[in-house]
Amino acid sequence: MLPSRKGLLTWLGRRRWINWIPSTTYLLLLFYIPIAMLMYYSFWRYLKLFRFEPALTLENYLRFFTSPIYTRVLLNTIFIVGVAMALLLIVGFPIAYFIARYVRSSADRIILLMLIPVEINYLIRIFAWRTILGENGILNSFLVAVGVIEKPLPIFFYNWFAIVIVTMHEWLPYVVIPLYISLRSIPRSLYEAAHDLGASRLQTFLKITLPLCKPGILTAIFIVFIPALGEFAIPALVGGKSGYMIGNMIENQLLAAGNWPLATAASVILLATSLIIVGIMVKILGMEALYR
Amino acid sequence: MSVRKNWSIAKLLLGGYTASVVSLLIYLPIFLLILFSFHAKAFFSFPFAGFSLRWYMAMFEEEFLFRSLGNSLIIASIVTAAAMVLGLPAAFTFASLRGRKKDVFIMFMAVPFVIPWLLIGVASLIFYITVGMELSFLTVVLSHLTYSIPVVVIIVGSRLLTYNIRLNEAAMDLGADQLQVFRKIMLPQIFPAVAAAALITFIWSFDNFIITYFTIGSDLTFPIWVWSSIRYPKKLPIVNAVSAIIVIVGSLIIYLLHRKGLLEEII
Repeated sequence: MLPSRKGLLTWLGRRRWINWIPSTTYLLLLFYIPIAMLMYYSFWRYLKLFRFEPALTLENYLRFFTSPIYTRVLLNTIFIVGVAMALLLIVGFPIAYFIARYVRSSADRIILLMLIPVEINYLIRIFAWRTILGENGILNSFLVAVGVIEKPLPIFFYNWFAIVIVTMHEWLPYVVIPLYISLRSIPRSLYEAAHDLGASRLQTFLKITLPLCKPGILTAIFIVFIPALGEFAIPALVGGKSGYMIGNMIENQLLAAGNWPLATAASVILLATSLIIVGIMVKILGMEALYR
Repeated sequence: MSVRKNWSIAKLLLGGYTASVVSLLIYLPIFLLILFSFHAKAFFSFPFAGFSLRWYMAMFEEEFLFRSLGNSLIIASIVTAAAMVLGLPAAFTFASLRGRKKDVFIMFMAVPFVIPWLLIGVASLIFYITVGMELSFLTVVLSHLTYSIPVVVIIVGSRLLTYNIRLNEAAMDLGADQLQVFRKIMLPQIFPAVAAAALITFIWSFDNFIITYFTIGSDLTFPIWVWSSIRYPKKLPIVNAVSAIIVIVGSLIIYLLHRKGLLEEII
């Protein structure tokens, strides 16, 4: 009489098609079809401002990859996000290590303390960095005060490195959390064993901590890299000329230049780049990484 | 003995490092934002020219500001409610599937969540214009839902996976019917996950810029108002004052929810 585990979950789930039909239909209609449409437009032919005709041409992709400007924008995007990602891992790792090793009992509170501010009011926080990096900002005032430079320099803002800084501000907690979860699961006895066997700090770090932290590092890359690739508000607000990213190019082609075929082709290229990254991650970490 | 002493030095160093990085990289811009919302002058630069509440007063003359805030609250509420209605049942489906079917289902659900949201914005814009839908609140809500449903399915579904089904069996042994089991045993246990999913959905929708930007047409949400005001030196201090209020109120709300134990699922 007693329903089995499977039976009960089936009662709640699979047998009831009404549970999954609405959400999957929704995504099909309002996500997958629009994405398919986006791909379709990328093969159309551009005539003039907001005018294009149906076609099956690769000329938009050719134009993207043969133009030194667009390929540079793509490489520039990957470079900026890559630098931000590397710095995030380097800066975030000691924090995660500190939380996992010394203050685990208050880990929730520390992480929340990092998380709350970055969840609120994204645009204005981007702009607030001008107070620090701008020509009359704190950094310049400080450097002038200590005598490193003579007068304020306009070099810290409106360039690609400002994007790196703001991206780090935006994503630091999301790098620390997976690293912390990985580090937390390393049993302390392993460190003790390494110490007993005469391993140095560096050896322990390279042979135990780092390899066991791999899932955390990969998850962090997964969480940060992809949204950062498609960012367009940060570069538009703080990036200046050297911080022109593919998101800006897509927005510009779509809304201002009126070249949907080129904008959608660039979108498909961005989509492909992201899906390749997701694919690699899923391959390494397994599908569970998506929901664990 | 010496090992222990070394560790405590390491602890101090790492603790100091953590405190400085978090305060410089995360809190400094927010602190400055709040500080300059009280600035007597219209620009964000040093030296600080004295305190004033003028920007908080000027806020009340911004008609579009209050309209946009209201719109954002309405949109975020509708998105949250609809994401629950559509996503919760699918979370049960997710937890009940096994093997390959589960992989396919989660892949289908997760794609909108794992691609850059810029693409959701671009694809939505193209889709609505092609099928002839006018861009408005409705299109914003429809597009926000494409990533919100997966958020609910993933957060609640992961919680259901670790749910101990024997509790249900025990309750049924003791004579509870299925509705009672759901209401008295299951719901209290999955409630934190549901609350966390709702909170995230709400905040992300309220704060969403990138998808809204492409799908809003001529309507306004709060982030869109900020976007259009932020580059006018005259408006910037007002944007700043509003943001200071939102940062403080928002942080308080999240902190209170944390105190109530509703956020355990997120971390």
